[in-house]
Amino acid sequence: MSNDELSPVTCHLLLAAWCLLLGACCVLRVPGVSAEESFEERFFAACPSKARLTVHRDDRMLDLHGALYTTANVTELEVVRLADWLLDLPIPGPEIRLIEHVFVGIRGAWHRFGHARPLRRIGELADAFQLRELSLGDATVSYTVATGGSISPGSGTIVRANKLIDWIQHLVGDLNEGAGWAIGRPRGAFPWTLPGRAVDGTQWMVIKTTHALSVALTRCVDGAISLTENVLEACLNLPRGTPHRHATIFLRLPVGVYRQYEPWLLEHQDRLYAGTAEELRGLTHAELFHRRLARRKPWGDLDRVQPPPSSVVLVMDARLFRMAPEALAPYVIPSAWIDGLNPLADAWPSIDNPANQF
Amino acid sequence: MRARILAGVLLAALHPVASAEEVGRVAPAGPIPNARVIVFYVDGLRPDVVRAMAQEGLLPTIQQVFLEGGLEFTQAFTTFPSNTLTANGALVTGRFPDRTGIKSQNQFERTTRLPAGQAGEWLPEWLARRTRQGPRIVDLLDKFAPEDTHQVLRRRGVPMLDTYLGARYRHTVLPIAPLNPPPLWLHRALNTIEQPFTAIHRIPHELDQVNARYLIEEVLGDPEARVILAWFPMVDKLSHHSPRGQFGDVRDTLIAFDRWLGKMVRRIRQVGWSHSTYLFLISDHGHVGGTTHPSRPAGLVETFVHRRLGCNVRVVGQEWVHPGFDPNRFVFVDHQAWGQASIFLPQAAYHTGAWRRNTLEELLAYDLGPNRGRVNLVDALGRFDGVDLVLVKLDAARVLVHRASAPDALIHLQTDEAGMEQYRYEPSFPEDDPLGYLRDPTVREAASPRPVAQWMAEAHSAEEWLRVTAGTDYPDAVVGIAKFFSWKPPVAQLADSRDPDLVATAARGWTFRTDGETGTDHGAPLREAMRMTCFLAGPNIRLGQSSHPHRIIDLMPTILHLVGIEYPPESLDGTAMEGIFSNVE
Repeated sequence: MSNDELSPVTCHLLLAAWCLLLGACCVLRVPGVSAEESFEERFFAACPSKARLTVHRDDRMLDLHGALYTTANVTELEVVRLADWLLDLPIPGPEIRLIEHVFVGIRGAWHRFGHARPLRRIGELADAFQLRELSLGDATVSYTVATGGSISPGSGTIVRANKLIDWIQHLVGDLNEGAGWAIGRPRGAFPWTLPGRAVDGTQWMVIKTTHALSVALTRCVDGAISLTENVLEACLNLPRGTPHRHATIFLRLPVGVYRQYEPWLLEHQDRLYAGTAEELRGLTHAELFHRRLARRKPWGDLDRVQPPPSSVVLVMDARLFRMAPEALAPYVIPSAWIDGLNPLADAWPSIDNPANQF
Repeated sequence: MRARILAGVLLAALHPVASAEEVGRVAPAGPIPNARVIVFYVDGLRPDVVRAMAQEGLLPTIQQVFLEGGLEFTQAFTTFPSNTLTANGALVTGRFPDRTGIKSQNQFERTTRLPAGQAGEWLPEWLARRTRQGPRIVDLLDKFAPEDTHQVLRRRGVPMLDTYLGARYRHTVLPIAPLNPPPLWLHRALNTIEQPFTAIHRIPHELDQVNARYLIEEVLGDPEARVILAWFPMVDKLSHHSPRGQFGDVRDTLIAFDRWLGKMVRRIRQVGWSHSTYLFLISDHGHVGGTTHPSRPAGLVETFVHRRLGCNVRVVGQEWVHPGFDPNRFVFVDHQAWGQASIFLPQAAYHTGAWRRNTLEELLAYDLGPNRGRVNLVDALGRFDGVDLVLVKLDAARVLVHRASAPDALIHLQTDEAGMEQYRYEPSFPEDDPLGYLRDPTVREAASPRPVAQWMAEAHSAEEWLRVTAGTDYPDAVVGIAKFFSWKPPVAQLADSRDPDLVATAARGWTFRTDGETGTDHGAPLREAMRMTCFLAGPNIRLGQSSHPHRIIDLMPTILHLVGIEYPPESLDGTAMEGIFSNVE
C-alpha cells in the first residue's frame, strides 16, 4: 500500500464525515425553506392563532339541522319496511324483506292480467290507497323535510287524496263514455273535459300551494336553527378575538401623499408602523405590535438623512384604520404585495408598458 | 232506455283499452302512435367512456338496449357554457340560451328589473320597486329554491316540456322542473336509503339510486305519462371530486347506474310499455381531464384576481376579502363547473366604478387604484397560466375571441334579408386563429372544395357552422359563443344587467376550481366538455350510428315529434332529428 492510498479506516471516516456534512447541509437548508415562506406567513408567524369554533357542521350527526331532519325522516319510514325489519331481525344473513316482496309479487302478477279497463280501474283504486307507502308521518300534511336540495310537498295524505280524485275522475269518464255510446254520442253523454280540467287545475293548485307553504315553513325552521347556531358560535368565539392577520391593514403611499398626512400619522405613531417595504420584510407583527415584545425601532429608513424612498409602507390595525383619513383608503394593499407581487413592480402587462399594448 | 245505458256502460267497461303491445305490432311510417318517451339523463356522461366500458362488458344493459338495439348520435353537442343548468335550459325549452336567459347556474345582476308584461309593470312606481340598485347574486341551485329556474322561464313566457305536455309529463328531481321534488319523491328517497337515520347526509350521495327507485315505484306504469325525464347526477357529481373522473373510480358509479337501468328496463317490460316506448340515453355535457392525469388548479380567483389584481373577490358561497378594503367593492366570478369563468367588474375603475358593463377600451386600461395603476385585463388574463380563451362582448353583434398564443378573432352575428341569423368568424390573420379552425383538417374537409379562409370570409347559418366545426377541438364554438352573449325576446332587456365583462375558459389540464379538491370539470367550449352522450332506442328506430351533427336543443322537438304533439316551429330553435326511423326512406 503506497502512502498516497487511503486506508479503509480513513475511507470510512471520510465517508462518515461526508455523510455528516450532507446531513448538516440538509439541516442548514431548513431555514432556506422557511425563507421561501410568503411575507404574510413570516410576518404573522408569532401571532397567537386559535382556530375559530364552528357550531354548524353538516357532516355531524349531532348537528341541529341534521337532528331535526333525522327526526322528521323517521316518521316517513314505511310501515312495511319497519315490519320487514322486525321480521328480519332474528334471521341471520342479508335482509329478506318478505312483505315488500309480497307487494312486488302482487304488482307483477297484476300486470300479467293485461290492460282491460275494469282491471285497470281496480288497480288504480288499490294504488290510490297507497297501502305499501303507509308511514308514521303520513297524516301530517304540512310536514316537510329539506334534503340538501329538495323539499317534500308533504307525502302521503295529499298524494292519496289526489289519486282518489283521479280515480273518481276516470270512473266518471268511463260512465260518461258508456252512457254516450248508448245514446249515440261517442264523445260522452255530457261534456266532461271542462270539469275534468277544472278538477286537475285545483289539484295542481293545492299541490303547489302546499309545496310553497312547506318551503316557507322549512325555511323558517332552518333559519331559526341557523340563527341559534350563529349566536352560539359568536359567544364561543368571543374570547378568541379576531386573528391579527385579518385585522392588520397594509398601505403603500407615494411619499408625497405620506408627507400630506404626516401630522396625523405622527400623532398615532405609537400604534402604527411607517417605513419601507424592504425594512418591513425583516420584521414581524409580534415585534411591531405585541406589547411584551414590542421594541422601539431606533432609526428607520424614513428617519435617516438620505434621498427619501419613492413610497412608504404603513401597517396599522383595523381600529386605527377606521379613524384614519378617508383619502388613505385607496392606498390599502394586500399583504402579499409587500413581497413584491405587484402589478407595477413585476413584469405585468400594464398599459403603461408599450410592449404590452393590446 | 235505462237498459241501453246500462249495456253501454257495461260494454265500455269491458272493452279493453288498446294495449301498447298491440299498438306496437302496427308499424306505420315514422313514430308509432300513442308512443311514450323516457329520457335517461346521466349528468356529465362522456360518450367515449360509455363505448369503451360497454366494449369491456361493464355496461351490459346499455350495450344491449342502446348500443346494439338503438341509434347513437356520435356528433351531439351541448350549449356553451357546457354547464348543467344551461344545458337543461336548452333541453327543456328547445331554445338557445339567448331566448331563455339561462346562461349560468348563478345569476349576477348589476341591477334588477321586473320582467316586462307582468302585473308589477302596471303598478305605480312607489308601490312596486321596479329596479334594484346594486348587484344581486342568485344561486339557481339553492336548496330552498328548487323551482326557481322553472319559475324564471315561466314568468318570461318561455314554453317548456311541461307547457306542451301538462299532466302527461313526469319526472324525477331535476335541475328545472315544475314541481321539485315531485310528489312522494322524498318518501321514496327515505325508504330507499339503507340507513334512514343518516338519510339526510346520504340522499345527496345516492341520488341515482333514489331517482331510479322513484321511477320504478311511482312513475313507470302511470297510464297518463307520455314523456318521462329521469335525472342521474352522480356520475357528474363524483367526477368533480375524483382526480381521474370517468377514467378512474367514477366508472363504478356508471356500472351501478347500468344495473339500475337494467331494473328500470325490466319494469318497462313488466308494465307492457316496451313496444310503445322510445328510450333516450343522454347526457348534458362531458368532462375535461382525467384521461392521463388530474387537472391542475389555475388559481384564477385566488391568485389572479385576489392576489395579483388585489381585489376582493366573490364567488357563490365563498369570498376573499383584503383587510381594509371596502367589502362592498368586489369582483364577482361565476365559475361554477370550473371550466369557465364569467367575470363581472365595476366599470372602468375597481375603487370608484359603478356596476355597469365595461367596454373593451375600459378593460384594456382598467384602473385598479393608485397603488396598482392601469392594467390591460384582456392580455393579463390571456397570459395567466391555465387560461385558454378570453371572450369580450364588443357590442350586440360582435364578440372578441382572444388567446395569448394566437392572433385574435371576432365573431359577428348578422341577420340576412330573410331575417335568419348568420354568423361570421373573422380571424385577424389569415394563417392562424384562436379556435384553430384555419389549421384544422376536419374544417378543411367540411368546407371543401372552398379554402377555409374563403369559406370563413362569409357569414353562414348556425347549422352550417355546426356541420363544419363538429370535428374540431371547439365544436360549434362560433354559434355557442355568439348565443352566450346575445339576448333576444323575451329576455332581451337583461343584456346590460347580466352580460359579463370578461369570460375566461380553462385550458386542457387546468381548472378554475376554488374548493381545494381535485377532479374533472366542464364549462369550457372544448370538445370533451361540449360533446354529449345521445342514444335513442325504440320501435322503428334504426340501429347503428348517425354522424349527422345535432345540438341539445334538437332533443325537445324530437321528443314532441315522437309522442305526436304539435308545436309552433318558431317557438323552438331546435329541429326534430331526421333519419332516425328504419321504416322511412
